[in-house]
Amino acid sequence: MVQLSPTGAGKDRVLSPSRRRTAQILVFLMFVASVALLLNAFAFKQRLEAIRSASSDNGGWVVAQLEVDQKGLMGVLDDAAFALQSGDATTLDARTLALINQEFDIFYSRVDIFSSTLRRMRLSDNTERQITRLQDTRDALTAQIDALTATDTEALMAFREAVNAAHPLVRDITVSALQDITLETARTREEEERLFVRFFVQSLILLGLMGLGTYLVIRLWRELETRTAETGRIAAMLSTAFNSTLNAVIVTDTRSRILYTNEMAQRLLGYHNDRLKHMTLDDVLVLDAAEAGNDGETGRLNLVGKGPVSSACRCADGRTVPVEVSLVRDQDVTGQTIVIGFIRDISRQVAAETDLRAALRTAQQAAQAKSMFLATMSHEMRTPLHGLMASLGLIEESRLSDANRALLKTARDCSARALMQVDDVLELTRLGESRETPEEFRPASIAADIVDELQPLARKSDNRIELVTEGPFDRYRVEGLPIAFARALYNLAGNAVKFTRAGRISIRLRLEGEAPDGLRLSVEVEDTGIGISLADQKRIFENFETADRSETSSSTGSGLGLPIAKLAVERQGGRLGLDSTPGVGSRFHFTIPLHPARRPADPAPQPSAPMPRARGSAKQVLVVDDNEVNLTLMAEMVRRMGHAPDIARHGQEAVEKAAERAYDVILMDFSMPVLDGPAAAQAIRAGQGASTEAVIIGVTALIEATAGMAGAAAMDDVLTKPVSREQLDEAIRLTRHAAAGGDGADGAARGPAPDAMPQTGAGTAETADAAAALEQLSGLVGQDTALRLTQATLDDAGRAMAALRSRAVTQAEQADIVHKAVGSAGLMGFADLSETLCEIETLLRAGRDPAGTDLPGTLAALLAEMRANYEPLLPAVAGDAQRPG
Amino acid sequence: MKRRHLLSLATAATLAAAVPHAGLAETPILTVNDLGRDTTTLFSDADLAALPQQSFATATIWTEEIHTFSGPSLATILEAAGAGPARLRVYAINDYNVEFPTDQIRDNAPILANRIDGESFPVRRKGPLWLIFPFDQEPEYQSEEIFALSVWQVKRIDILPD
Repeated sequence: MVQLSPTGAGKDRVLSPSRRRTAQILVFLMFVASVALLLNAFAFKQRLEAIRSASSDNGGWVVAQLEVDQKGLMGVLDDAAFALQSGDATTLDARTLALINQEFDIFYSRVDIFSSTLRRMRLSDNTERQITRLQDTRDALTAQIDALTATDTEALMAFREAVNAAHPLVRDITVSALQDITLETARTREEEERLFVRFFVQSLILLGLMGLGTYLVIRLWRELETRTAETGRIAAMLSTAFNSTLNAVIVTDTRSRILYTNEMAQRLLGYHNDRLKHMTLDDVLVLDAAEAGNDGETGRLNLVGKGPVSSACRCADGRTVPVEVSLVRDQDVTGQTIVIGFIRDISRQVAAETDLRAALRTAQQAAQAKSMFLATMSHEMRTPLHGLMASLGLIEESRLSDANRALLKTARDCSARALMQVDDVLELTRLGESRETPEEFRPASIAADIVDELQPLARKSDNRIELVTEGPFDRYRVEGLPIAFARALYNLAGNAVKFTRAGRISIRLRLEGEAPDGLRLSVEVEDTGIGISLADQKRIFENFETADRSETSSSTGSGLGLPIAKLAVERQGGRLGLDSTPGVGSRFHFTIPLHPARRPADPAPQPSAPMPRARGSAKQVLVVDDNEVNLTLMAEMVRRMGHAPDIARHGQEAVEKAAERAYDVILMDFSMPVLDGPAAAQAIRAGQGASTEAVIIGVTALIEATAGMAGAAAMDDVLTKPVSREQLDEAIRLTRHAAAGGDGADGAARGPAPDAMPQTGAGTAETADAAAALEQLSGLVGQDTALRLTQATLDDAGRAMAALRSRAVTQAEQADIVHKAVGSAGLMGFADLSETLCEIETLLRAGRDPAGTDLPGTLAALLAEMRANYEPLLPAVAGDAQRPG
Repeated sequence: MKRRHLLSLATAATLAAAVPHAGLAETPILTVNDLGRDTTTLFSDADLAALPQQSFATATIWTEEIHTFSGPSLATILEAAGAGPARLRVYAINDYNVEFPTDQIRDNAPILANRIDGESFPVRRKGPLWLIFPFDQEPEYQSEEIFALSVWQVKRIDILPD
C-alpha cells in the first residue's frame, strides 16, 4: 500500500525551532567543556610527567649533605690539629695530608652540587647571596689548601680556623635553603592542588552538561516517539480516507503508471487493483488532447495542479463515463514524486444539466408559445375590431338622428377602447419580440408630435403640456428605435396628463455627450399631478397594475401603459426611473444612448413623395385578401380614393388577375390560403404578366412582417393592419414615386426629378397640379375638409414664418409653432414645405437661430409659391385659423 | 666519624700496600669485590681505558651544560671482573653507598665514566669515576631512583652474593 507522507513535503523536522536552538547551545557547551577538559588533561599529563621525571635531586638531601661534608672536613682537620698539638708529630704525614685533601675535595664538589641543584629552583635573594658567598669562601679555602705543605703547620691551623669560620655560613645557608625548598614544595603543592581542583570542576561541569544532554536526548526520544506515533496515525487516517472517499483516487508515478487505486476507483472503472497496477492513466482516462497538450505524457503533467478538468473514463465493460479529474503532485514517504488523481463521476451532473437545459428550452418554448398565442389572439381580435371600427367610421353621420348619433359615438368610443386594449397587449408582446433595427429619427420631432396629440386631452383637465429641448439636435442626425421611443414617450406623457388636474406636464429632452459613442439623450416627463406613493411605485410597473384602483372611473389605462413604456425604454438601452411624491407630482426619466446616423448627414432634404400631382385620377388597383371583411373595407377605401379596385381572394387568384391586367397598385395581404402574399408578389414580379411593374404593397396583421421583409418579398412596401386611409395614401404615393423615379435617394440622376422644387417653372402647370391634388384630397376626406385642411396648412406655415420673425416669441414657442406647421404640411403631402419647416424646428430645438441660415428664405419662397398655387382654388374661409382638433 | 676515619685509613693502607707505587695512571682507582666468589679485582685508569668504551652526551641535574661522558659500561666492568650482572653495592669516596639493582645494568648503560669531554676529572669535579646514565637519551632515567644510583666519586663496587 502506498504510504503517503502526512505533510506531503517529504522532509519533516522533528524539533521545533526553540528546541533545536537549545540542542545547539547544549552541543556547543559540551564541545567547549570537552576542549577545556582536554586542555586540562594535557596539562595534567604534563604535570604527571613532571612528577614522574624529577627535574632535580632531592633538595633536602643535598642541603643536608653540605653540612655533613663540611663537618667531615672539620673533623679530619681537628684530628690533625690534635695530633700536632699533642706532640705526636711535628709535621703532617703524607697520609693525613692526603686525607685532608680528599675531604676538602669532597666538600668542594659538594658545594658545586649544592649550588647547581639549588639554583634549579626559585630561591630567595638571601639564599642566592649566601650561595655566592659560599662559593667565594670555598674558592678562598681552595687557594689555602693548595698552598698547604706537610711541614707548614701554621698554615694548616690557619686553614682549620678558616674552615671552622665557614661553618656558620654553611649553617645559615642550610636553613635558608631549606626554607626555600619548603616554600617551593608548598607552592608546587598548591599548583597541583589548583590543577586538581580545576580538573575536578571541569569534569563536574562536563558531567553536568552530559546529564543535561542525556535529559534532552530522552526528551527528544519521547517526542520522536510521539511524532512517529502521530505520523503513523495520520498516515493511517489518510489511508482510511483514501480508501473510503467517495471520489475515485488513482496514484501514479510521473510516467502515469498506476501505482495504487482506492476502492471507489476500482468500482468506478470496474477493474481490480491488481489489473489496474499494470495499466497507465491513459488506459482509463480520456484526456482531451487539446487540454493535455500535444505530447500526451508531458501534457498530462501540464494538467497537474491546474484544477478540475472535464474528461471521461473508460470502464472495463466498455462504457464511457463522464468524470471530472483533478491532478495533484506530491511525494510519497520515500520522496518519490507521485501524481494523485481525484476522479469524480459526474454522469449524474451531466444528466441533470442536460435535463435542466431541456427544461429551460421547454420553458422558453412555452413562453414563446404564450407570446404567439397572445399575438395570434390579439390579431384575431383586431381583425373584427378593424372591421367594426372601419364600419362605424363609414356610417354617414349626417343621416342619423341625435339619439343614434350619440349611440354611434358610444360605439366608436368603445371600439376604440377595445382596440387600444388589444393594441397594448400586442404592443407588449411586440416589444418583447421586437426586432426593430436602428434607423434615423428625430426625437424632438416625435416629442413635439406627441405633445400636439395630447394637447386636447390636456386641455380637458385644465393641464398645460409643454416640450423643452436642450442640446445640439441640429448637429447630429441620430439613429435609434423611433417606434419604441414614441411608444415610451407617448405612454409616459399620456399617463402624466391622465393623472394631473389643472397642472403642468413638462417633457424635457436633453442631448449631450460626444459622437460617435458618447451621445446620450435624457428624457424627462414631469407632472404636477397626484403623485405615486412609494408602495405603488414598485407595483405600477407590473403588468395590468394601475396606480389608483379606487379611481377606475377616471383611469382609462389598460394597465399596460407603464410596463410597455418600461420595456420600450429598455429596448433602447435605457432604464426607466421614477421620482414621485404623492400630492406633489411625478417625474419619469430615462437616458438612452444614441448613435449618429450611419449614412452621412444628407443636407439635402430627404427624397420625399412628390407634391400631389395626380397623373390621371383613376388607378387600376387590385386588392387581395382572404378575409371578406378586410377585402370589402380595403376595396371601399380604394374606391373612396377615386380608384376602381378589383379583388382577389388569395395569392393564386391575384397572380392570375395580375397577369391579365396591368394594375398600377396591388394591395396584397400576407397570410392567405393557396398562395400567400410574398409568394404571390414574387410570382407576379417574376412572371410575364401585365402587372410585373405594378406597385405591390403588402398588408399584414402580424408583427414580424415589417419593413425588413419588404425588399425580400418583392414588395415595394408593407403596411400593418389596420390600415388607415392616410397610411394607404402615403404608401401609394411613396412607392409610386419610387417606382416612377427609380432610386428615390438619387432622384436627381434620373432626369428631371419629379420632386423638383416648385421654384423652377411655376405657372399654370403647378396650378393645375394643385387643383388635382386638392381634388384628390377631397376625394379622400370630403371637399369641405380638404379645403379647410389646405387653408389651415397654409395658415400654419404663415404663422410659423411670422413667429420666426417675431421677437416676442421664445425659441421653444417658435419650435412648437413650426412643429405644428410641419405636421400639417406633412399630412397634406407638401413634402418640401414640411422638410424645410422640420429643419427649422430642429435648429430651434437645438437652441440655434435659423436666421443665420437660408432656411427662412427658402420657407418664404415655398410659402409664396404655394399660396400662389392654391389661393385661387380656395374660397375665402375666414375666421377658421385654428386647425380642427 | 671515627669509623669513617678508620675506613679511610684502611683503604688508603690497602691501596698503598697492595699495589706497587707506579704512575698515577696505574694507581688503582676502582676496587671490585666479588663477595660471592671472594675475589677482588683492581682497576687502574689505564685498565679501565683499555676496556670497551661507551660514550654519550647528556645533560645532568648536577651540571650546567651538556657534556660528553665516556668510559666502560658497568656491565663491561663486571665482566672484566669475572662476573655477570648481579646485585651490587656501589661505594663513593665519601662513604655514600647504594644498592644497585640488577635490572638497571644494561649492556651500554650505565657507564662508569672516567672521561668528561675527553678529559679525566678530579675528585673536586666528582671524579675520578662517575656512574652515569644517559639521561637525555632515556627520559625514564630522569627519576629520583636513578639520580640516587648516579654515584660520583666511585671507589668500590661489591658484587653481592645471591
